[in-house]
Amino acid sequence: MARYPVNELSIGPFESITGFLDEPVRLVEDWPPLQTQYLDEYLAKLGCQTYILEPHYIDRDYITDVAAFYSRCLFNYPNHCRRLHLFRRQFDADTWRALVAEAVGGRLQEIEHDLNADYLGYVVLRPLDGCPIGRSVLQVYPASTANPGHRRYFGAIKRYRAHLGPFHLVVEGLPFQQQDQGVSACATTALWTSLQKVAPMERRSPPTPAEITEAASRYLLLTGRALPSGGLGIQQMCEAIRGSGFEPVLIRSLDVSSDKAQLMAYLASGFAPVLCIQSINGGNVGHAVCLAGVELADTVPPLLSPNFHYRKLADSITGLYVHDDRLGPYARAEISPLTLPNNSGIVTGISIRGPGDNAALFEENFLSVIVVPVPEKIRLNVSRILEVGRLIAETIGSTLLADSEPLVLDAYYITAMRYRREATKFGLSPQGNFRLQFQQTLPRYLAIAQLRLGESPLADVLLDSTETEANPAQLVLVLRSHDLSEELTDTILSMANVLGVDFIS
Amino acid sequence: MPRGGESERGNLGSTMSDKMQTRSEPIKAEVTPKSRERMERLLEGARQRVKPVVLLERRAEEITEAVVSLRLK
Repeated sequence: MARYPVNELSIGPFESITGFLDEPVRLVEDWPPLQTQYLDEYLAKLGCQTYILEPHYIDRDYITDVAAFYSRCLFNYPNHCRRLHLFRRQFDADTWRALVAEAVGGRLQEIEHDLNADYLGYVVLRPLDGCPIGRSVLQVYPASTANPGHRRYFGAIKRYRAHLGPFHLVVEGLPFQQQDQGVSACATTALWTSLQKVAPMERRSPPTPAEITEAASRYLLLTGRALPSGGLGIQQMCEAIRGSGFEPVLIRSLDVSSDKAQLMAYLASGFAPVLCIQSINGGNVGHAVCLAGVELADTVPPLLSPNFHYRKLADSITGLYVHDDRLGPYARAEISPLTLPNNSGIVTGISIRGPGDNAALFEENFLSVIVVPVPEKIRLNVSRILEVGRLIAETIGSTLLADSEPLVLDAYYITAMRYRREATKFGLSPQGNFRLQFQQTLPRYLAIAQLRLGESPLADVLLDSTETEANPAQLVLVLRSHDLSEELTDTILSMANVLGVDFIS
Repeated sequence: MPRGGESERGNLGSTMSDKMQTRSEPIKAEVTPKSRERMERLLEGARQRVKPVVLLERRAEEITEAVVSLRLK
């Protein structure tokens, strides 16, 4: 009689992900896969010391893939995976048993808090020889970098809970998995990662790779069949996003500064843009990666043209961190101008590297198009926020003295609920605060053009993100700074007056 | 140090320099005709300067045939 499997944990010193995989009996293309080598290097950088292995773990994404594809293969693929929990501290099986006993004795929260201080996340190992890395969430690099005057910012991460016995283990990251070429290709995987972040923002369940491929190929079959997946076209990516309950925003790459501004605005809003990149050697077959974070210089550089009187926060981006399913999570990429062969134009170059800041170059590409799944209520695009913000910044910037702190423009979306909570720290007058909290009608998502003087917020222009280009979207100007000259205060007040928006201070 | 994510904008610095001093009274939203006229003039000058950038960046929304025919695998 068949019995339920016993989930006997194993615990030990961590050496490598590759060590948990049996070399396939059947021939596979690359062994061990590059992704496991990448993960080994990444985990070494995070200081991983100990693993706990759950031998029987049901992964929602994999079991859906089994139902859609693997259950009908001749080979008997199991429906379960293994899951590795990874820790930065050393402990053995006896210590673990003692911790569990103590937790039962009433110290659960204390021990859980202690474990979480060293929890690095988890890696799901699928029973697929050629593509074993399933849904994995690992901690990001720390904010500080080896590069002085720079910091990392991961805008597209989220707090995930993994349940292990009575413990709620918490990791902040962005899910990653390897494409299996059965139900998913790179575009499916990059979209899957992006939707993992945006779906919970709208209280939706993120789609599995199989569901993305199904939605992408419902009306359009560019590769002749849906499964096995032979890749997706841009239109299919758009269909998959719509099928998941979101709207696709397509942005054609223009130049490094414009592309950085678009990427920064979506990332700072908590969305994870998908970057569609192409080889510099031509062809219409590209690759898709998902943006998780950026490296920023502490000093925002001036614009290239001396005619302008403001700077853009996005120009301080000095590097990207992307999920590349050919490599692994948080792969470092440089973004810089790149001249195409035969001098046929200057494009935005994306050079992807292995783990770490000084890793070897993996591949040189250029950015072709950015795809961002956004909630359907967001209609006002980033270009429009920047358009309004740029005009206001340039106007106010032109009145500043030469020795003033630089005026910096930032753009992003935020829910009105969150903005109102943050506004309690702005130091607004009681009347101004009351007005913003209760009397001002705001949409679910606000589009913000923010002006700063150096590091200090100066003013926020709140725009209605449900508006279209034809209608004015400006709602309110919120004055944030408390140390302004009378002249600058008058300038901002006059700006609000000319824009025809409410002024809150 | 926060890293961003869903609960806050993290180390982007949007709130880091907000001082917890509170304005006792809102600034009176009174604009003299002279101030308004000056602002209209400044705004028009700025509009002329940023116009080429605006026109350039609007091109990002023009999705070309080359983009549509891109296959990702």
